[in-house]
Amino acid sequence: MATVTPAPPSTVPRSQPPGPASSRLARVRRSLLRPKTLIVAGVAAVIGYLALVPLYYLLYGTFFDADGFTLGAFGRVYSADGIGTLIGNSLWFAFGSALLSLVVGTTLAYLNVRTDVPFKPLFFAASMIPLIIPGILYTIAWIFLASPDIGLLNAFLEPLVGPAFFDIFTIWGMIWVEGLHLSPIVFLLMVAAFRSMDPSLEESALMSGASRWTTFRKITAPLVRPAIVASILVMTVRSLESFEVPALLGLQNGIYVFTSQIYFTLRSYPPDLAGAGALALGLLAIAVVGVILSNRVGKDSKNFQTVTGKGFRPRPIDLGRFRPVAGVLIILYFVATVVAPLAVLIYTSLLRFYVAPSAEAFRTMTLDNYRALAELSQAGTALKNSLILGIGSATLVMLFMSVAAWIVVRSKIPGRGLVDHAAFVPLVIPGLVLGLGISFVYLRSPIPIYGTLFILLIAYCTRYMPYGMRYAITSMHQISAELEESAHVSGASWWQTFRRVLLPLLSPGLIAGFIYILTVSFRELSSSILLYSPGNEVLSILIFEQFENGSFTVLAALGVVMVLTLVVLVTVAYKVGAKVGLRQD
Amino acid sequence: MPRSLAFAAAVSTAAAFFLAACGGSPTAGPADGAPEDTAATHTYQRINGLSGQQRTDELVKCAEEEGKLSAYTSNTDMDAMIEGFTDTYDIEVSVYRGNSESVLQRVLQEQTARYYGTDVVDTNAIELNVMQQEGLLSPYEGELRDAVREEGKADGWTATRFNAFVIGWNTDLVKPGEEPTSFEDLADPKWKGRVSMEIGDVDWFTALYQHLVRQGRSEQEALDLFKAVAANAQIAKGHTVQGELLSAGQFAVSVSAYSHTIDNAADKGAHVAWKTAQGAAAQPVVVRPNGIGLMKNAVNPCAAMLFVDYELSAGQEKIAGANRIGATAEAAKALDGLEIVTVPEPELLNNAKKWDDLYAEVTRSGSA
Amino acid sequence: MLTIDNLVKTFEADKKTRSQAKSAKANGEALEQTRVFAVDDVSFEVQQGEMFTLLGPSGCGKTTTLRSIAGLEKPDSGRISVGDRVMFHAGDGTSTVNMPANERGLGMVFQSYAIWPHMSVFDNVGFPLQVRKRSQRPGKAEIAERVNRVLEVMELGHLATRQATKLSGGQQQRLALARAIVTQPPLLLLDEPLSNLDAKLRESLRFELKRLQRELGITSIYVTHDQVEALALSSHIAVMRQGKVVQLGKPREIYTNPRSRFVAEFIGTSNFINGRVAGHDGDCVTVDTTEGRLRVRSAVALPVGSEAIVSIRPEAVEISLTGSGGTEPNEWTGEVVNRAFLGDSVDHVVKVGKAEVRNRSNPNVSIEPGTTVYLRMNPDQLSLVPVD
Repeated sequence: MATVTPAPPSTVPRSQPPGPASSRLARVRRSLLRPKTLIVAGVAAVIGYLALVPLYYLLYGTFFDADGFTLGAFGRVYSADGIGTLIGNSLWFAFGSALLSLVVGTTLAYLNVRTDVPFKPLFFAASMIPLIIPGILYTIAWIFLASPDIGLLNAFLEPLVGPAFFDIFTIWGMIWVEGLHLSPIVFLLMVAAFRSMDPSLEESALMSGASRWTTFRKITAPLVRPAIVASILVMTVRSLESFEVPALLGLQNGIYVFTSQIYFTLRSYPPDLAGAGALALGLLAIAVVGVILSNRVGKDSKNFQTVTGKGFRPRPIDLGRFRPVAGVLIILYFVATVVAPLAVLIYTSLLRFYVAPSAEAFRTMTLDNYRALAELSQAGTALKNSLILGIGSATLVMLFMSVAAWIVVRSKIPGRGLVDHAAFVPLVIPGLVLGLGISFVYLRSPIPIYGTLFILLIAYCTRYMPYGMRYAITSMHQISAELEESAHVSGASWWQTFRRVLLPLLSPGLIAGFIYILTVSFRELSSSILLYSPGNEVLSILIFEQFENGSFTVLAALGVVMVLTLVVLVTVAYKVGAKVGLRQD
Repeated sequence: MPRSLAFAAAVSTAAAFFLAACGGSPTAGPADGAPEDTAATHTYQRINGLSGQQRTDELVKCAEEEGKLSAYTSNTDMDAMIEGFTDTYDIEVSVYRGNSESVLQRVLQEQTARYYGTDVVDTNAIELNVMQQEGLLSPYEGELRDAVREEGKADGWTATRFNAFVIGWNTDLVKPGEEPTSFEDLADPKWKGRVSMEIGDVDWFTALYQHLVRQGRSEQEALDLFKAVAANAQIAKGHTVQGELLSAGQFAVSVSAYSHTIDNAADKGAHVAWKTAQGAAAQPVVVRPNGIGLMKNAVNPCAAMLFVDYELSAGQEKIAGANRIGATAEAAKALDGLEIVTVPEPELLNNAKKWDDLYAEVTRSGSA
Repeated sequence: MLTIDNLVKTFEADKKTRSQAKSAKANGEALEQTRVFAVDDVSFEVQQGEMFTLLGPSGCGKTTTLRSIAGLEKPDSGRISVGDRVMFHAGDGTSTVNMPANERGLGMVFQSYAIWPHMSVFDNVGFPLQVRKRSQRPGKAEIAERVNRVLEVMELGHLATRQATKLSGGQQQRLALARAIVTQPPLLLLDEPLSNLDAKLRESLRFELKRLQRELGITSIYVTHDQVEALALSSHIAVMRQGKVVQLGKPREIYTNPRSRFVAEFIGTSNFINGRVAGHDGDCVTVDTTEGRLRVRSAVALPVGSEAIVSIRPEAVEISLTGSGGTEPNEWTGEVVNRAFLGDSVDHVVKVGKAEVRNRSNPNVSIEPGTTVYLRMNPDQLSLVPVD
């Protein structure tokens, strides 16, 4: 525009009037150096890089052997005996768990955010603790609770319903444990979604005469569909690649799933990376279809922009006569997901070996396991490293993913869909393959980060990128473009708009993602174990050692300590989070 | 236009960085297969040639000059070992711990990238054999190795302890007199649902299977026996979980428990045992050596050798202290009088797929 | 039609207020306020077919009152009934009645419109009919007919299949209204429905709203902070302040006869002259002010000697270059200090003693500043309000 103005008194300092070509070049150069371009390009590059390293490793290992390109791995893996049953079991287990966690997580989130349900402080614990307890401990705690042979619940209920009422070693038991273990992820996603919704959208449905259930079905649920779809997607893939529950509960009765198969292919030497890759690519295919579907659902994104410029006051709905019912449900859920497993864990941590509770057991209780923990040589370092990595990766991932979500949802940059897919890739890559891929690159890279904490940071950022992306995108879908435009019109630069308007509005989702990543990063083992170096131990390595050592009771003590540490951390995160963004009341 | 340019730029930078970072094919095997001489191998050969006090003095002097040692291990009792070693010698030790698969993968990755992160590897037989096959290890010789039981004198590495697979039981659920005396006993229908097998114990399976065949059973009969036991069994994952569930009474018998898992639990007061009150154990007992190997490309070869010396001498007591079975005849007394079957490592290495599949078939047939 | 008796609704004070209260207490001030009265003993009655307005500044409790009627807010005590249906009753020992919002059968237009972004225009309007109990639900064809009829009335007929988010502000407002009246509710609640629109659109929709309300005969409760809107639309206005109804009456009554300085100030502009009641003569009160004596016709009886404020609307002040020679009561002399031409009127500010009095007259009158003028104020058009 400025160039066609006839000979203006030049305010732009320039030595020579530029010809049309060089002026275009200068403009391109200027626009390339603008913060927006730099940031967007930087984030896209980082995501691409993080995702492509392990993907390339996976693809290469799957399709190339000593003789060049081959599809042998697919033939080998997908023609194995019983592959049909295996896939069937996997899908049943995955969809079952996803559905359970969706129903439980959404219900709780709705009650918590949109109603005057009692016991709200319990939600906090109920949403975090199952996530914090390492999967193996959570699963074993459930064996102690609901095994038909030694389950405490079965012993407790025997006079009422007969022996062995619950059987945890069934597909239903697996779905139960996995679903409950995953429900906090849904809870966090849905809380963010509900919090960003103008309550008058629901109130107007009530005023139209719709019952609460109809309102939820026809108004609330459709409006938070991006979050629901994201939940189903993440939960299904998570359950498909979950290992502990199928290994500890399924194998007992011969229920095999996808991941048991990956385990078998990686177990022997040389590990059948090609086979594992072929299976992982199967997962990837499912996931890509999921991402495409979820984007199609969110395509007409204006339909879900419930955070608009119009002010609203989030006001809880009066549950009326359902309040006590909801209260009882909350207590039951809290007992099932938190109190019972945690009680088993604390109980076990005070014993020398697990026995069913008895007067004898309580008499021999001791704090020896906690003492043993304190004496572990690297306990302090490991805790410190886990904290650095957890907080570091959670912060980095959420910051990058908020820009990435902007690219995918808001920008018109060609190829933005790729960013979305790239960010999703690590979700399906087995931890071991990820670890191998990363160590392969950094053993040969001139950047000397092999053997330092940084390589773990890269691994964690890669692993948790998909979750961060889901949290960020879901929130971004809900923010009206007008808010951004109005900031822009007010004279704010892209970066100012991003920092001052978008980040605060995204913050419920970003904080939820932060908390999720922080929590699960404490448990990350499969790639940490390959990448950490002496002196850089993390807590999960300690857990693994205690586990290998057979010190199950020490492990329980460690689990208790982890729960306490993270509860404190997460409380702080919530408090800080409450100071920014959309306020609850 | 500028946006799309920016994006294209970003993608290509990423790609360039990535390609620059990966020079070769990422999953190619080790580049250097044939053993070749390195500075470390010269040191090893020199020390291997010495004996007695002269060897010890030379080694300690050289190792303390190096002052450092890096060890990769899957040995879960390593803490006590390192403590003893650093108390005795003025050497700083750093330890990487992982499961045996991670140790192997890490060593392979590092060595192919010519990153020499470790001086010595202490892990399971199968992984050590792989490293030997890949030409990463250098032999250790001397009087201490000579004292090791025959099963433990492997090519390229030396056993420091044995894992013994025994049949263990919960003494509350298996009454005196009812204890199984052999693997065959557990095929009896009275054990229905009371037995536990471990999903990963292919090495135990292979050893016992071949033993059964050597005793005159046909392959089919051996397999049928396993399947009959599996039909009585619940399948567990991991010896730790299995041990804990055995103590807790989830099942009455483990067919392939580690002796030290049972002994450690019993020491804590758990009601488990693998020998009757009279001291009789179910036989045969399958043993698998775990050992230590010197890295051909060690940065601290003397410290590495000194550490092997330590594990085979004073270290044997630490092993016994953890209820483990040592490698020297002296330290392996727990095996005296028992019928011992050794895990056929070469067979497992060369026919891994066959045995994996066979054992998978067995475990899958179980627990209907 | 609608009866509200002694409605009370309190909220927990927010953290800031509470901590302020705490520190005030620490400073020795006895200010313990943990609950805020949003609605403080409000009672009123609305007749069939009326357009009843709750008017007041933000935070006065008007929206809370409306939401309590809607059933979206649960009052602490009081009674709300529509016709002979008791919607809410609590607080005087009887068992609490609190009909859920979705069973009250009222229509409501929200300030943000609350248009469902995932539905078409037709579906938004059809929703209230579609969610009725099966036994009361009209057939598909009837629903379509009724929706289309309402859309026609709202001049949205041609947009029925459009996605709701694609409408303009005015269209969204009409859509929200269409949705609220499609069930022909006995009572229509409107929560500042015009506040999100531009001035021009607001004016035209205001008249449209009044026309519709009259034509359809729907009893309506209208919440607004805009006095012009309130005066133009309402058959009755309740002015609210700090949770209480401070004056209730017809628009003209409230305008010409404010009972307090607050009402006089909030509605229209007014000159306030301080003085002291000097005597009564029937409903005619004599007030002595520093600028001179004023006679005011007032229904409010203030004792002789008490302080009072005379509220004078600018248009009640007649400006003239010639005096009456003392035959007219309430005639003051002053000097024009400012003049403003407003198109449909001219304002003069006249200095009388120390006070400044604003006059509004027809645009033909225009007097140079500096000119000495006579101001005459009709006693019938003045009002007397007590000092707050």
